[in-house]
Amino acid sequence: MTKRQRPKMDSKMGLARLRALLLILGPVVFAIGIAHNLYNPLEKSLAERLFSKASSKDYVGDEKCGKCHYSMEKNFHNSPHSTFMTDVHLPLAKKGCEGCHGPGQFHIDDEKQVIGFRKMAAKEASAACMRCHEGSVSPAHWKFTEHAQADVSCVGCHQIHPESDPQIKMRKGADPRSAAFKAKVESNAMLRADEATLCGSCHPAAIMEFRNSAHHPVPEGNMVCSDCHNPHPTVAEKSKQGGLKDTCVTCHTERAGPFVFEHDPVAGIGSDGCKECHRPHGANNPSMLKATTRGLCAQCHTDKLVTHFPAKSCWTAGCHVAVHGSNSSPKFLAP
Amino acid sequence: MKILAVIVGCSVAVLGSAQDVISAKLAYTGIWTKYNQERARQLGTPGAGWALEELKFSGSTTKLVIHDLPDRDYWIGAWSVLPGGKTRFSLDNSLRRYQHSNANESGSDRVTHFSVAQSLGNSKLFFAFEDSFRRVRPQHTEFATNPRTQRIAAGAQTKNASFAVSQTRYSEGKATQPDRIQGTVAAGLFGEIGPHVSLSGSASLTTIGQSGLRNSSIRSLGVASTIEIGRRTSLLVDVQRQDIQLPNQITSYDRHRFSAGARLTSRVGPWSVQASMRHREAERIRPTREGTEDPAWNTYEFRLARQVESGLKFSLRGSWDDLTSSVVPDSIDNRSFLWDDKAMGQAKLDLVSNDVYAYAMYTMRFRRNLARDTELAWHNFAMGASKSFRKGFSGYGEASFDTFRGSGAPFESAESLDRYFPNSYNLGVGLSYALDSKTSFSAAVNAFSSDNILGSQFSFTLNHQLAKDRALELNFAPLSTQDRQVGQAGYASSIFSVTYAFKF
Repeated sequence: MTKRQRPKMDSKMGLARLRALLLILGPVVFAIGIAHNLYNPLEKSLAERLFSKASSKDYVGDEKCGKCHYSMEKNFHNSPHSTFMTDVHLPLAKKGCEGCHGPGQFHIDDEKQVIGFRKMAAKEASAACMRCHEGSVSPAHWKFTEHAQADVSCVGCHQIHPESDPQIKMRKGADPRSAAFKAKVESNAMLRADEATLCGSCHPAAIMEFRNSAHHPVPEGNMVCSDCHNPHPTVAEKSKQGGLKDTCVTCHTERAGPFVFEHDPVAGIGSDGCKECHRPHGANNPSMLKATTRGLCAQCHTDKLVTHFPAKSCWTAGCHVAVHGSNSSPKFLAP
Repeated sequence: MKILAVIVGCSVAVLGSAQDVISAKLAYTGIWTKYNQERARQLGTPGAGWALEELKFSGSTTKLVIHDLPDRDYWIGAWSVLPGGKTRFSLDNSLRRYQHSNANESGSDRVTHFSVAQSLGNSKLFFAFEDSFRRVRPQHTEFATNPRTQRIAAGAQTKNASFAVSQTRYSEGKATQPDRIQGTVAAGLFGEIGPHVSLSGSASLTTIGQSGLRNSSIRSLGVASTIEIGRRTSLLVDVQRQDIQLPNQITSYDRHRFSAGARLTSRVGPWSVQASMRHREAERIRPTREGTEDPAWNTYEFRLARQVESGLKFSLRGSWDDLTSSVVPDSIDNRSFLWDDKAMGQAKLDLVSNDVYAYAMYTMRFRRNLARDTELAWHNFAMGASKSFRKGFSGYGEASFDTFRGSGAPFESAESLDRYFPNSYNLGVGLSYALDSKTSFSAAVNAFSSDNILGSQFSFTLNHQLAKDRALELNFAPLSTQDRQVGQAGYASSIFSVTYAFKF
């Protein structure tokens, strides 16, 4: 065993070096980026270009749009979006068809001068949506999210025209609620499908995990993906700032602590938190555990595998029942 | 509460327009269980007999949904946007009852949730309140609890700034856990320097009060920036720090945490490329409160994706978490518990065409603790396909396999760790067929198995549209579960239901 041990660098010296490197490198990279942009300004998005040069006579009104795009204009009025966008008090640049697709006169004069969300780069399409939605998701905020970094645009998930927007490639098997599971949870966020179907269209393995014997009740319709995952989180949310433990304790508040005796894997920076032991989408082990009974504990507590009461599990035997943390026992025994 | 929800729901329903629709579902359900009856009802109590299964008001500005009334588990909720779209309300209440292995003991969850959001002008103000109460009655009555969680949050968000305060109160309703109040104040700033440099900063202070104990606190500070270096490349850098005070904790804990990372995202020809590096470190205070330890990790990640040709996409990703500085636990066996290496690799192939969707995905996770001579590798292979054979006729099949491989001393001992990491598989097959424009049916089978459990579920659904606003649905869903560890815990159940759905 000892021959497999590898030398570790002097921790304090290593950390000091890395900190110094980051302190120097960070501002340098940042300054280069700013200088680069100042001298090489990138082109504005199509939405910015169209709306900035429009005057009131360039807005032709929904009726005129409907003459060519009859079905689009009609089914848009079945969308919750229309409730807000047909408000007579809205400025022309945020009202009706032209509020999203740009001033109609430009499109009449040149067919290509239109904001066509599904034909644009994800970044440009999202920028057009955030002209109005910057209060909840600003462009600066959006850029930091995983979805933006993976080139997903707003219309990849949200459906604006209920009957004519393309459907998700509806793999029945990707939807745990299609045939095997009947529950469907409707969303107020104008999504292109219920959340499990929508998210599962890009994350199919997660859907298969929900088919295991022990799972969070997504197939039963008692939970949805966004109960745990925020599709556009802020930097603070991403780093779980404000709390000590995972997002799991939002519901499992009794595990939040802090406890007098904490179990390190639950709260430590070096662990995966709750995922250290659980598979949150589902597993074929009780309580969505990665392994069963005492093996789960023995993967770290290797010294307890053979010698320490080799019976049932460490907790169902009635001994270490407080494995998530205890206020009375350093060994997490029953209170 | 049920009555209150109905009153509020009906009140907001009045605000709807002429296009609004009221729909209902009337159902007859029969349920048969075999073997361990209590286990079959451990997660819910589906009612038998006639019931108004759903009553729904759907409007452009208001929705009210009632599931499963009367005398059954139920969910009732209302959602409304006042004219103008500036004010939103939602209210829901649910009851779920379940049985434990002792037939005389049962539990129930009753959850109430209320929220209201008000937006003003360009800035958005929000306020939310939530109160949930559960009544938990497990088999061992000494563990019975009545946990209640109350949350209240308020804040404001503009294009460039956000501010929020929240308070969560938790009470378990018994003396073993102290009541807990967690308050958080958080602020965030977003800004842009020029068209392609974004800055973000966030700060938060959380205090945790526990009855009879001293207050704990967590201060967090984070700064991040994205820099677009040309049209196809961007860099994301971030630095975060947490200062943690846990005066009641006797065991060792992280007093300070620091994390810094950089991620480069680019498109190189047809390839989408991401590469990132993150450094994390902590200052851990020892249980003796004398001296500290400084564990540290470096994490390297990459992602590669390519649209091979129209409809075919390939992606590859991986990460390696390297422990660069470890800790020595204060126990008789003082070998470190921390994993020296954690690695992940994943390859995925997606195929999308007009009538076929298929994917295949391989994921590997690896962990190694050198001091304890333990290596664990988990392999998952998942694949699936769906095909539309012709209009109205489609089918799908999916399979997932999990295998574990371990090596090192714990796997070579008499009591091998291997037996606790069962391999498992999961299969799903289904098809749907439309006989004509009015009648369709679907059937699906799902089977799962591991060393602990063997189960199968079957479902059959027949839909018939009687008229434009009236439909009949027939469901048959048998399932069985064998517990391979505790034979008596196996159960089987069959549900049969006929539902008549209509709209006003």
